[in-house]
Amino acid sequence: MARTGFLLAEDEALKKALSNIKVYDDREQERPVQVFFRYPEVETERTYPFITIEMIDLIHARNRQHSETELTYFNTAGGASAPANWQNRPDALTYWPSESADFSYLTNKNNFQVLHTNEFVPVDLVYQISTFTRTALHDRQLSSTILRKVFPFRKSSINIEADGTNRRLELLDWTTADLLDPEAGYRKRIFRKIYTLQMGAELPSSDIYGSKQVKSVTANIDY
Amino acid sequence: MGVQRLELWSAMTGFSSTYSPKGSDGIINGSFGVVDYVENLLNVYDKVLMEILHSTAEEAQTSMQEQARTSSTGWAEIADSISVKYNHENRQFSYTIVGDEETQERAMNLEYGNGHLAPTPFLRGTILQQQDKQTDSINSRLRKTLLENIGG
Repeated sequence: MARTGFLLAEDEALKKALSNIKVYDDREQERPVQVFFRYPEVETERTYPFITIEMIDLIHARNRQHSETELTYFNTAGGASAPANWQNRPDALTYWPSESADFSYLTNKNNFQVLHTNEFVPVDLVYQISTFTRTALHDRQLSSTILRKVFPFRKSSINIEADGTNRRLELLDWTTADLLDPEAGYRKRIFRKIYTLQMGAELPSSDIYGSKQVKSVTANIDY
Repeated sequence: MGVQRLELWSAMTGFSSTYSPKGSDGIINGSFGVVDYVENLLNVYDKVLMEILHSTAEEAQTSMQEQARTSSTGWAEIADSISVKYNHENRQFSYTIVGDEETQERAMNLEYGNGHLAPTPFLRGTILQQQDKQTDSINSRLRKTLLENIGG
C-alpha cells in the first residue's frame, strides 16, 4: 500500500523512482545502489555507490494559482445524480492530494452524494538528489541512468501512487561537486553529482465536507 | 573546484535578428511604412529587452547579497561574492560565486552540503522565489518602455 500524506507520498515516489538502479564494473557484475533520505548517519554502514534524497524547499507556485473556486465530487456509489462527464470539468474533485485517488479513506463517504472542498493551493517542492560513488566509472553510469531514464531532461514526470496523479518533475540543474573523504584522511575522492528537482504538488486549503442532493421538489402548495 | 553555475532557464519570447527576402511573388512589393514600423519595433524590442534583463540581473544580485548578509547559516560571510549576470547569447541568468578557491568551496559546501554539513540552499531557494516577481517586473517594464519608444 502506498504511503500517504503530504510530503510522505512524494518522498516515497522519489525513492521508488531511484530504486533498483545498479552499476557495473570489472570486479562485480552488478552493484545495487542504496537510496537514503538525507546523508546517512555515521552509525549507518555506507556502501558506495549510494544516493541521497533531501527536500530543500517548498514554494507557493503562484503561476498555477487560480482564483479560488469550489471543487465537487459526485459520489455515484452513494446514489448521486451526476452530470455527464463531470470528471472532466475544471471544478471536478477527483482525488485528494497526496492522500487518495478515490476518497475510500472516508468511512462515511456513502452517506453523502456530493463532496466539496475549496480549490487546492499549488506548491512546488524542491529536492536535492545526490549520488556518491568511489569510481569515475560508477559516477558516469549513474549520471547516464539518471539523466536518460530516471529524470530525463525536459520530459520528466512522476507518478504519485497515493493519489494517482502524474506530476511535473523538472530537472532544474545538475552539477558536479566532488568531495575528499574525511574518513579516509582526505586522501580518497568521492565522486558526487547533485541534481536539483522541482515537483508540482498541492495542499488542501480546507477540509472536505459532504452534502446530500435534493431528491424531489414539491411545486404544488396545498391551500 | 571551479566556479559553479546555477542556471535559471528563462522562456524568452522568440526573436530573430535575421531577415530573408521573400522574393517578388506579388503584384507589387516594397517596404511599406507598416513594415518599417514593425522592424523598428523589433529592433527596439530586442535592445529594450536586453537592457531590462541586465538590470534584472543587477537587482537580483543586490537583493541576494542583502538577504545573504542577514543569514545566520554562513552565507553572511560570503554575501559579497554572490554574482548574478545575464547572458544574452544563451538567454539565461548565471548565478556564480566569485573569489578565491576557498570562498567557492565554502559556497559549495553551504549550498549543497558535504555529507557532514546539511545543505542550506540559499542560492537555489532565492532564485526560485524571485522568479514570479522578476517575470512581473520584466513584463511591466517592457510594456512601459515599448509604449514610450514606438511613437518615434
